[in-house]
Amino acid sequence: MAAEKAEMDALKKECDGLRAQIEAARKAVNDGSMSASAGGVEAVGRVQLKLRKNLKGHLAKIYAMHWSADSRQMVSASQDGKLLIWDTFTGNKLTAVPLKSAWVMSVAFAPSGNLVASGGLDNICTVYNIKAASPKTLRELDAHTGYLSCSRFLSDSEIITASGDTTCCLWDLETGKQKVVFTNHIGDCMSLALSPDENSFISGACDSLAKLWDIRSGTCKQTFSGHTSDINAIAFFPSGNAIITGSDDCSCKMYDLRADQEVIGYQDTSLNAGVTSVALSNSGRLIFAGYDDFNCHIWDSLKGEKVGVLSGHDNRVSCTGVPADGMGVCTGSWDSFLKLWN
Amino acid sequence: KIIYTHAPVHKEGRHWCKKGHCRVKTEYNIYIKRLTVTTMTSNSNLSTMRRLVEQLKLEASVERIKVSQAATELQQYCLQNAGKDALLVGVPTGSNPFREPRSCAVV
Repeated sequence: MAAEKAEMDALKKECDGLRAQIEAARKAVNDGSMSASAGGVEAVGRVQLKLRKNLKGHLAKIYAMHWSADSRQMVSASQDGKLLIWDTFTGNKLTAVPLKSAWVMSVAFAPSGNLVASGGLDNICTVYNIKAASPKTLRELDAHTGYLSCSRFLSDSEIITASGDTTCCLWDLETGKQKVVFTNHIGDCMSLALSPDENSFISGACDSLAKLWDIRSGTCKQTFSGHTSDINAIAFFPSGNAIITGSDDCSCKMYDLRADQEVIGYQDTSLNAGVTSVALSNSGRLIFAGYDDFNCHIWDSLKGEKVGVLSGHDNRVSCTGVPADGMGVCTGSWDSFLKLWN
Repeated sequence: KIIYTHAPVHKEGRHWCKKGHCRVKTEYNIYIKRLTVTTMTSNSNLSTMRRLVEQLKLEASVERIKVSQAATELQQYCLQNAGKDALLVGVPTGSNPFREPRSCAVV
């Protein structure tokens, strides 16, 4: 027992030492703030986007949406127990996928456009083939012991999921089995995003940390702290060198991966609502953040200033997404509508 | 050490979990976050600490660049790609995919 206690004490000391080392290393490279060096950059001015389409069809709260890689189709998930696939150019509904469990929290479109995945309080990620005559369940990925909060396809044969059981997982869709389990968070994983080069992904969790993972090795490469409450949303800056997080602490933050620290925060004393979702415009200059205050606020990512707002929803904005071609932004809400703006 | 754990909780009546799912019946398990202080066995404590040390060593070994350099490169990316960012520069009225094309009557 004494030997164990001695080892525990030594390990604790080593942990504290390493944490101090990391903080010191971060401080050593912190030679200037982002907003300071953005002083020379022209302001974007007021960003005023117009509502182009109001998509009606869901009968209950919308929890998630995801654009197809073709920047035209989009899938949304609602507590009414349905996934709807929309043609956003016409506003028409293309396909309705009835869900086994109405308690859906996440939805994803495969890059090929052939598959969609959804999951929620049933702890299962269900993958559907939507190119069949009528949507067919391809796989039920059942191994998480907590709710499914987010999922993203790497291809038609691989998908990554984030769960309330504090783990993320890479699945092989051909066998339906887990390939890699990513464990390190100590709170529910709420959101994930794939890096542009698809070698890594980031996850945000209720432990207020964001983590960068290597997909193939399963290791957590970097951890980012600073938020004081659950991180609900996470996204990559388009260059792949930085990440944006949105949290229940009412702020968003940008962390640079190569500087290994927060470089700018996005908060405003007048904003007292948690952030539910984040999306970036194609140049990375604009951050669209959905809040519990029924609005989607637009931030200038370089200067940290609020530059616009998308108002119109009658309830919490639960999901936000910008398509690959960057031609618009979609907001989904608990008011059961999806709105397209540009 | 405080650990977040979740246990399935059957509750009567209305219950709002984190994401706001409302449940009026008791058939479904709703997972809520709970703070519990767990006293783990000394063995699992030790192996957890060893793993934590290895993880911190990995994270400490990351090569870091200066924040000023990172900021400059992020700015450069934004400025170089600004022209192609439709949400920043606007979408030409004639070619807005989300807008109904106006029909012109040829007289």
